[in-house]
Amino acid sequence: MRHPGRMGIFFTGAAAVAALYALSAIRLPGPEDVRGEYMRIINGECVTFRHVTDAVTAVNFDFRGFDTLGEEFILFVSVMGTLVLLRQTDAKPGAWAPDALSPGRAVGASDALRVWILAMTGPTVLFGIYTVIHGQLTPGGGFQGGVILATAPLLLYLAESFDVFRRITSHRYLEIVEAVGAGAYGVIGLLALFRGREFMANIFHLGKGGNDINLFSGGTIPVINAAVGIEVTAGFVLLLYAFLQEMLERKEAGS
Amino acid sequence: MIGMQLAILAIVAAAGGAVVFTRKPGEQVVGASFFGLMLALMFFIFQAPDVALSQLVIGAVALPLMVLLAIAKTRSTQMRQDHEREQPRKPEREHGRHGPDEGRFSPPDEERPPADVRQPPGRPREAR
Repeated sequence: MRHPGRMGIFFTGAAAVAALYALSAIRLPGPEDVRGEYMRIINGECVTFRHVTDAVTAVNFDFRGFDTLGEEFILFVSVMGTLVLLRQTDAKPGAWAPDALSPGRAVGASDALRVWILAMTGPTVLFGIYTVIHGQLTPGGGFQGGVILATAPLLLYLAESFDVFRRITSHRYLEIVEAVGAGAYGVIGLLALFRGREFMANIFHLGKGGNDINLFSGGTIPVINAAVGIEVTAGFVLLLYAFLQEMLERKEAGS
Repeated sequence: MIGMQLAILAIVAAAGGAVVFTRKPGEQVVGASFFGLMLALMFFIFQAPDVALSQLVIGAVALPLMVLLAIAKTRSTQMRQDHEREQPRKPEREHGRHGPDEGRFSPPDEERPPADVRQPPGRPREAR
């Protein structure tokens, strides 16, 4: 970007793109001006036939459940890939390690911060569980609640130490839990085939009547939601642990 | 309502520009987190609370966290490699003794490398 000619070419191109973009965006319908029929159909179907109130979750885990299955496995494969990459390290025992990854220890978290984090960890876990299991009734769901749940051990790590973080996250069953959470989605989808229905059909017990809506009235939706929540929580905790683990091992070997 | 929508669109545009024009990775992460927060607010104002919640946990929390961890890990690996390259000429730092940086928290976007880390010739540490 030093040459003035280059900047001229850039701004010419940028101005052209901006003009074309404005030209195409100016005729778009407003955010409240929905013309598609899909919204009306989903809004009519999801309460009457699926007994859930959050149309977005109904679309994600029922009407378009197959798409979300792919989305879930994107996350699963990403976590696996990151774990494989991070595990191929050339860490030698006793090697020198800078303390860049453990701010809570080197600086020492202040008492106010520690008390506040410790007080907020319980509500964080509770809110994460609430977000997962109420995904079909209010905004939220397995993906969002899973990330909230996974931040709870991270908060504890920031307030306390590696040892606390390791004690609650370094179980070898965590990988199994993640795999089971991811696999349960596909298994629930396959169950419908044994009933003679199409893949991902909602075969579980639905609520009766038009207004019977509660936590379990959505058939497969809450079950899949919980499976996704478990998978996302385990996946994110595994990621965090993999990032911090190498540093921990080197510190142990070096001291 | 329309005023709020226009305001949040302007804020998102400004925050996005700020992220692009920030050059230091550490500061960029903080900017990206703010950008994610504003994006979540935008989704909320445009009446998409589900998407707003997803954006909040992914864009404002998970993504900056992962980037920050990756930066810290890259930097620590590089510092260790530089240190091992220097090791034969400074035998007093064997057996896992720490450098002068021991016990001090180095933020990921620290300006200067530690004094004992030699810059490898011909390889810039980082694009600034």
